[in-house]
Amino acid sequence: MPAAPPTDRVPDDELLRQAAAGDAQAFAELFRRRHPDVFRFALHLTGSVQTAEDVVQDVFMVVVRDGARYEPERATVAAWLCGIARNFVRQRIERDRRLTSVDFTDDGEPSAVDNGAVDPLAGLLRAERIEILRRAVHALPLPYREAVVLCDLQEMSYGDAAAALGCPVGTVRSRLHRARTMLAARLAVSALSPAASAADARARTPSRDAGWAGQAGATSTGRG
Amino acid sequence: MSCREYEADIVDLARGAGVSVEAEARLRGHLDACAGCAARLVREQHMTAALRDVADSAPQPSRSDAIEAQLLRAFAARHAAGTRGTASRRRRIVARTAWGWLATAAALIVAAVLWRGSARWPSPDGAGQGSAEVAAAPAVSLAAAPPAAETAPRRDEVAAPVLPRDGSPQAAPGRAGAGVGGRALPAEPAADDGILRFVSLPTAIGLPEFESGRIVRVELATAMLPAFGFDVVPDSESGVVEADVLIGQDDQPRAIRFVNLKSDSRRRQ
Repeated sequence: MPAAPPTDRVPDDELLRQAAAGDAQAFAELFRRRHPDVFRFALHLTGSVQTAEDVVQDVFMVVVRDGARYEPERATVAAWLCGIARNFVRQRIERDRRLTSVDFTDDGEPSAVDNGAVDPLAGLLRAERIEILRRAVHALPLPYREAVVLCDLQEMSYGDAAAALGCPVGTVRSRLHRARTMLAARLAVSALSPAASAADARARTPSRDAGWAGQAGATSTGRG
Repeated sequence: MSCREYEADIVDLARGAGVSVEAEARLRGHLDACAGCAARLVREQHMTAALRDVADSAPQPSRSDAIEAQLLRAFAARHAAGTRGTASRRRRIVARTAWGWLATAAALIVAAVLWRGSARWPSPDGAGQGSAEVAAAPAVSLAAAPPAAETAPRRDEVAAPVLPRDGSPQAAPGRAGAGVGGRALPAEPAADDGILRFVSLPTAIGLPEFESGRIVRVELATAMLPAFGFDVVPDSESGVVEADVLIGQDDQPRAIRFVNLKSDSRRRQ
């Protein structure tokens, strides 16, 4: 969850303006402040730490080259950066279809599972829940995944998410609601045998899991 | 309202997203009466909490320092290049201004010549054997010179002419086009072989290759000569000197040659 910015620090857009004017310190400060957001956004979309780090580098290279093109009236700096990251992620997904999920169907339609009576997350250990949900998010069709990542994982406002995605707020909102319905449906399936599903998921996609859960910096624990 | 119509507000409420006071009041009223929607709210709240766990579980980037160092190098290179680019642009602007001034001067010369009309340049022996078209331009506006004697016009095409010091024109076919047009002529103020050679005008750089043209005679204020790269010790009481301007096939001045210029005039190197 992004921390609320202290009121005494230089705003992002001012840092960006200074960086565009050649201030290396401002650029470094902006990078340190915002690269975790870009990294997490790319990570949740791609599932790969390596790819996410590459995207971070690509995004801030755009800042180096074209930071002056940022328009503060159109989006926050964070949303602008995520919008750039989104383009790089989409390029990479196009280039490397291995980044797309093969574990769930990506037909964009939630399954017909009745999730009205069952809370699919109830009774799962925290680590299992995280793993299953993470995989379910990653299996969402990209437009829905983007909405969940920005709004629920990055906790971005609808307005900022809309700016990052280049679509109306209403579209973001409807995609998010639909995405959550898809997640619930898929989790309901997993909940029939959660432990087996989690273990099976790890076994079926070792490379992607190695790129995330296997990282030294991962904070995921086995706490229940 | 049906339960479906409350779905979006239920999700927003569960996420902690902004729901208007009126919408929340309506929703709360519905939740009190609808167990299904109340359960949905709980599930959505669980989903929100679980998604935040997913967000919190994400690893940190492991190469931040290396990426930052690389970006800062790129940043420094970019802005150093930008600074060099600015200086280079400034130099280009200065140069362009100088070339523009020279082009204007040359254009004025040609305009004055054309305005005055063509005139025959008499050959030394008076037989009209010269091959160059020469136009008298006695009153070049920049020179404020007294009018020169009218001469009969000639309209022969010439190719890279080399004129003897005595002023009688003669073509030098072997040197046709040499250095006139797209390339600069070598600095060649007054050849030791006793003839004055044409030197290219700065404004000729970049023009199409010289193919053919004509020569027009003009009078220039000596004060203008530095603009053509000549350091001149003015010895003319009138403050003007005569010059032949070589006009190319595109009516653009390509080269200039001074007539009766004292030998203490030197082309700047």
